Amino acid sequence: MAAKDNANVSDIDKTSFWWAGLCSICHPGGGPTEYDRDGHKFFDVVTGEFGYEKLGKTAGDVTLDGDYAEVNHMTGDLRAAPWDKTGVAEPDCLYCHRSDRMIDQGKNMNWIWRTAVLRSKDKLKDSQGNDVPAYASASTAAQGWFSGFALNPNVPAGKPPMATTLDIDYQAGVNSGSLMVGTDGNLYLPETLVTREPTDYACWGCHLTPDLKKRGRVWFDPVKDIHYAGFNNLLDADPSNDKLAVESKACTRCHPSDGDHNIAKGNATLGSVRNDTDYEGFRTCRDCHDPSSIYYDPNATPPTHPVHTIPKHLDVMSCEMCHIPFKEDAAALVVDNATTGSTIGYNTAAFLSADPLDPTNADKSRWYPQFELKTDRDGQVRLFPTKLLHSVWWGDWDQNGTPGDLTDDTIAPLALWRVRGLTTGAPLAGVTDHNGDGKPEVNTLAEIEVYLLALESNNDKHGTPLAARAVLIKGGQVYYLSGAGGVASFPYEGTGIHTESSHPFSVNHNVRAAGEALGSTSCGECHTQFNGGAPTTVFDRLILTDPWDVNGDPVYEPMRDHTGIDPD
Amino acid sequence: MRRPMGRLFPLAALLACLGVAVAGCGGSSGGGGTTPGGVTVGPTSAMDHTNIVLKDRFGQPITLTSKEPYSPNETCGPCHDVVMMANGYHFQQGRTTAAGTIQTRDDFFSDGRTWLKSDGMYGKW
Ligand code: HEC
Ligand code: HEC
Ligand code: HEC
Ligand code: HEC
Ligand code: HEC
Ligand code: HEC
Ligand code: HEC
Repeated sequence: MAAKDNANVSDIDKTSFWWAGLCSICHPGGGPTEYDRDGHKFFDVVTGEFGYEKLGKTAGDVTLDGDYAEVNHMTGDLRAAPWDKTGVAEPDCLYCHRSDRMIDQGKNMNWIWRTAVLRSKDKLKDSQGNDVPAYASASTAAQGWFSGFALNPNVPAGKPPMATTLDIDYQAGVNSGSLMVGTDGNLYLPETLVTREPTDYACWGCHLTPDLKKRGRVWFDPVKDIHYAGFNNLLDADPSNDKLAVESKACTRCHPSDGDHNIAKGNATLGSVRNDTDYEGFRTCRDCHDPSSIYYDPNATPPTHPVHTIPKHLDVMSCEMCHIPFKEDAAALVVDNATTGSTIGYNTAAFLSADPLDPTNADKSRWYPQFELKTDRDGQVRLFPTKLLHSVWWGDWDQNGTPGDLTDDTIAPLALWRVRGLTTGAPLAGVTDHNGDGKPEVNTLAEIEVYLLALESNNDKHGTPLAARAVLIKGGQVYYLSGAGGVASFPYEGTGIHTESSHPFSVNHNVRAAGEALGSTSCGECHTQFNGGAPTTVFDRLILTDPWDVNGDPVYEPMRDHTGIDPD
Repeated sequence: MRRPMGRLFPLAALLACLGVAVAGCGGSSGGGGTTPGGVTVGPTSAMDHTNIVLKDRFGQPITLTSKEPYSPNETCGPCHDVVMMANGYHFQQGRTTAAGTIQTRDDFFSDGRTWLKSDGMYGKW
């Protein structure tokens, strides 16, 4: 993200205003969409002042301020952030606490309206052509309190929607029953409009995309998620007690919240936000399924199958590892930000298959998680299922004046708007599609060299060199121009350089019916000794380590070699 | 599915009252008015949620002719400590600590990655 104070436009990537228009569609308002990094409202509509004015600054003082500037990510142009036109987005209480949701053909309209309005930034108008403050109006749009609403038709499929027109009209709320007119002419919220526990749809609007894309997770599917089914009474014989998807409040059964509004969470493999609250109030598998737990849920069967009784098993393996045995929905596996400077994505079907031992198998109906060691709530380190996301990107390597010592080196990612200035969004000349999948990729040393040379010898549109020492990060390696000529590489792991080309996203949802768990068919799913000495589907499954080597071929390793847990 | 709040969570109501501003719990303000059905609405008990007046950013009650967006701060804030709630990690996404102190800074993890400004979605990229 952009620093608060910057010396040069080229140092600015994502500013607060940019974030409020793009990222905050998955943010409930308040905090960074309301207040700047000095604690002032970005714009106070009551006094008509920008936050910096409260500090005695002028517009001229904040042209490079990460809270009050914006760099266009397509053109690289700088402008003042028009918070006065957009207003600020306040904490959107009703977004989560509204008891009913508007679901239209499976589409979560409350989320879509809010998102579209936020994304319109300073371009939102009403039908008369008057400016509408988009950030301030997002929560009103989310309630459906409008009569006119139009979307920008040029947004490509698969991208979040963007509104062009919003006519705020509270009559729409009165018509739908979400507002009442008092005899004093003022509008009131009906008591039943507010719910204590948010519905799953309230959570899912923001969590759907990351969960599906990064983890192949689905919701509202009783076959793919035993708890969604169980908590909504869909597994018993009585159809009359079934709850509808829009009524489901299953998320908060495991993720309850308190007055602090820190929704209970665990220790996600990548998430680091407020780690001080990890497991506070959270319900783990053991909490509900272990009869000795104070949170024991009498409807939750205690595990009794013999596989649970081998002590080593529960010491080494998490419940999730065996009970989320496979995924049926494709997830993003590789993001290539290098070849064109725009993201080219590849999903699990491109590199994995329903045969855990043969990724080339044409059956793509399933894919299998890999496992990482993670500290569980009880302090025990166990294997948890994850899905790696591989990233391929350009960086600028700073050796900190000590070429012999890698431990103090940094590799800063190059902002994509700057890379696109070089590539113009297309592969550089000489790049070919070595693996024949229809998508070009930078993989041979000669191709990598073309880019590294270009990055080191070109400036961005503000005259700043793109990189002093350009590097490619891919498949655990750092590729750089060696003094001896040509491209050399080294693995970054163990060097002390904090950089990553793979990101383990935790796979914690979609527990399947017990009969589908790992070990339900045989001990030989994991133990070679019970599998006639043959490779096992769990510990010998192949996991991707590099999407393409110098020949364009993917590189895999067996699960067994990945963590050192190696059952005979 | 839709049940009055107070009857569902009497204990929560009591506890929430200790934490909310006087208006909601003391039943001393909140406007009052009459619903279209003619029933008088006003803060009659500690658990009352029947009288939420929709207000705009200037604190003005919203009427049918208004084109101003409603303001959650002005609408829910009179009775609920919105500032405290909005310090939850969903709202701050890395901007503040548990105590509400702004923590965003260059090189958040003190390991040379100057571009990482926090531990959450606002800044850790
Ligand atoms: C049966 C219990 C259960 C239910 C129901 C549940 N979760 Fe979770 N959730 C978990 C567990 C277990 C974790 C991992 C905790 C840890 O890190 O150890 C988790 C983690 C998460 C995470 C962190 C990222 C990740 O996937 O690890 C998010 C976000 C999340 N849940 C959101 C949701 C949402 C949204 C819903 C409803 C649509 C939901 N959860 C329903 C048990 C549940
Ligand atoms: C569709 C919703 C959505 C959008 C849009 C979105 N995010 Fe996120 N982001 C999430 C969720 C949910 C998480 C929590 C982890 C997870 O589930 O993967 C997250 C996690 C993150 C994290 C890791 C935070 C941590 O605690 O470690 C970063 C960094 C991040 N997002 C940055 C961004 C940026 C920058 C943007 C805008 C360009 C953005 N996100 C847009 C939903 C979103
Ligand atoms: C909030 C309590 C709760 C949590 C947390 C929870 N479960 Fe459950 N689980 C239940 C209940 C209740 C059922 C029974 C659903 C039904 O049949 O109606 C159930 C059912 C199951 C079943 C199916 C059992 C059978 O007899 O078919 C499995 C397997 C399971 N859970 C595993 C897990 C795992 C693994 C986790 C952790 C990721 C977990 N549970 C977390 C409450 C919980
Ligand atoms: C080594 C893999 C493995 C681990 C780890 C594991 N389970 Fe199981 N679990 C199974 C298998 C296999 C079954 C039986 C499936 C069948 O019915 O064929 C099962 C069944 C269950 C059942 C249904 C009742 C029964 O015993 O048949 C529940 C509930 C359950 N497990 C919960 C858990 C919980 C909670 C944990 C973590 C404390 C856990 N399991 C850890 C493999 C595992
Ligand atoms: C999901 C994979 C999985 C399944 C299924 C499984 N095991 Fe294991 N088992 C393991 C792992 C992992 C270990 C720990 C290996 C280690 O720590 O090196 C282990 C350890 C053991 C141990 C202890 C060995 C020791 O050194 O202490 C025994 C005994 C064992 N398993 C027997 C069985 C039997 C019998 C079955 C079938 C009922 C079975 N396992 C099913 C994964 C599995
Ligand atoms: C007139 C005062 C008043 C206003 C205005 C008000 N509330 Fe409340 N609210 C209360 C009181 C008092 C309680 C505690 C009683 C209870 O839990 O039922 C409460 C409880 C709640 C609860 C349940 C909390 C819990 O832990 O049980 C939610 C959710 C809630 N309010 C949301 C809102 C939202 C959203 C708004 C703005 C749209 C709002 N309230 C406006 C007085 C108010
Ligand atoms: C307005 C969007 C939004 C809504 C609504 C929302 N979330 Fe989130 N949630 C996020 C984002 C973004 C993050 C990541 C924050 C970060 O890392 O800074 C997150 C983080 C989380 C985490 C912690 C992930 C971690 O890093 O451990 C859990 C658990 C979670 N959400 C569950 C829920 C549940 C349950 C609900 C519904 C009650 C919900 N969320 C509603 C956007 C949302």
